[in-house]
Formats: sequence, structure tokens, C-alpha cells
Amino acid sequence: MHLVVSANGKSVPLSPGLSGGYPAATQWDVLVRGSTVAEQFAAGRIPRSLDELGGTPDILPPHLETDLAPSDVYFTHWQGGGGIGDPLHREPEIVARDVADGKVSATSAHDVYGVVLEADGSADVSATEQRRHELRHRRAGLTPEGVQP
Amino acid sequence: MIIDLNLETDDAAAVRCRHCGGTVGDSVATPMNHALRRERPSVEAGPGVHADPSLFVDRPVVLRQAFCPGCLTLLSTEIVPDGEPSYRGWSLT
Repeated sequence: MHLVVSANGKSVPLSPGLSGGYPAATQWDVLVRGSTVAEQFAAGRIPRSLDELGGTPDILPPHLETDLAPSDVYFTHWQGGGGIGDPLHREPEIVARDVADGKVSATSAHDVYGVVLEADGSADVSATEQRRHELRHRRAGLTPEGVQP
Repeated sequence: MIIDLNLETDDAAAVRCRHCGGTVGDSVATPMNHALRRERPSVEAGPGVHADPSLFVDRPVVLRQAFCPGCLTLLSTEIVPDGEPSYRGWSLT
């Protein structure tokens, strides 16, 4: 199979945010050569991440033409759109719902939205307030009171 | 006048934060001259930046943000090549 990759926005997102919202994600294309996906499927297992595919991952440039072997896997992550508003202003329970729905990763919830999740996936309101207080200062290059630099 | 989710002008045409009332700009000609500003490598924007831009371009790429000086609300965020002017702005004059 012949693969043609043509995608900009790998270093600078193409869709900006509004009112402080973050821009879209960067375009991300990965080609995994020599994966073990066929063996995993045969064993009734579905890989859930790039790391679980086996083989050798290669992050692809904006433009590339190549041939794919049967064991190769092409992964693409589209950019989406930019955000609107300060992510620290988004209601914690809505962020928790977005995580549950697969729209926001747990990492983004913690690092960008400043939402601390309970084990059951709900937002820990008190811990979220603390986390947001810290993030609000750190992202501006400031050290919040009572927090180590 | 409401400018966006975070900013508005007052009766004296100064630009104020809609969350804390702090002065962000002295006038519509300088709408964010009191904003705190910070630039850092774009990979610090979070997991939305999937790969180090140095894989694709020689020039540094930065996360450029502006904040309300009173409540630290995020007023603008952009990821741009270092030294480039802002891609998006607005004019009130």
C-alpha cells in the first residue's frame, strides 16, 4: 500500500484560540514499522496506545510518500479547533464529564484545566481549587504563596 | 462595551478585566499595556503539542500568553515562531 502524508500544523497549530483559549493541537502523524499488531489481534488483544503496537515508531514530517508493509501501522491525530476562554474558568464537573466522554484526557484535565479527579472520575472540588490556585500563578511565571518554587 | 469573555471598556475608555475589575489597558489604543506577559517553549503548552517543533523547523516555537495583572485570568494564548508578531489581535480605535 502506498501512503501519502500531507499535513501542516506540526510545529505551529493552525487554529488559534479565543479569549485566552488555547490553540488547536498540533498535527501528529506516526508510522510504526514492523508492529506486532497482527499477532496481538490473533491473540484477541487490541493495542490501546502507540507503545503497545510494538515495532519502531517514526514521527512523520509534514509531507512524505512511502510504501507500507503488512505489519506497518499509520497513526494520525488531527488538530481539531482552538478553545474559547481561560481553561481554569471551565466548570470542574464539565471537565470531568469531558474526560469521561473521551473528549479531554486526564493529563489535560490536570495540567491545562487544573481539575483534580477522584477515583470515580468526578471532580474533587477542594483539590481542584488548590490546583488552580497553583497553576494560575505558575503559568504566569509567579510562585503562589505557600507553595514551593 | 464588552470586548470578549474577559475584557470590557469602562466609561473612561480604559480596558478592564470583567472578572476582577482590574485595569488591563489604559485606553483602547493600548488595550493590554498592563497585562502580564510570558513566553516559553511551545512544548510547555500541554499534551496538545504532540512533538517537539525542532523535529520540523529550525526556528524556536513559543507559547505566548498574556494575563490579567489582578486575577491572573488568561487573556490570550498563541503558539508562534519566536519573534513573530501576534497572529490575531483586535483594534478598538
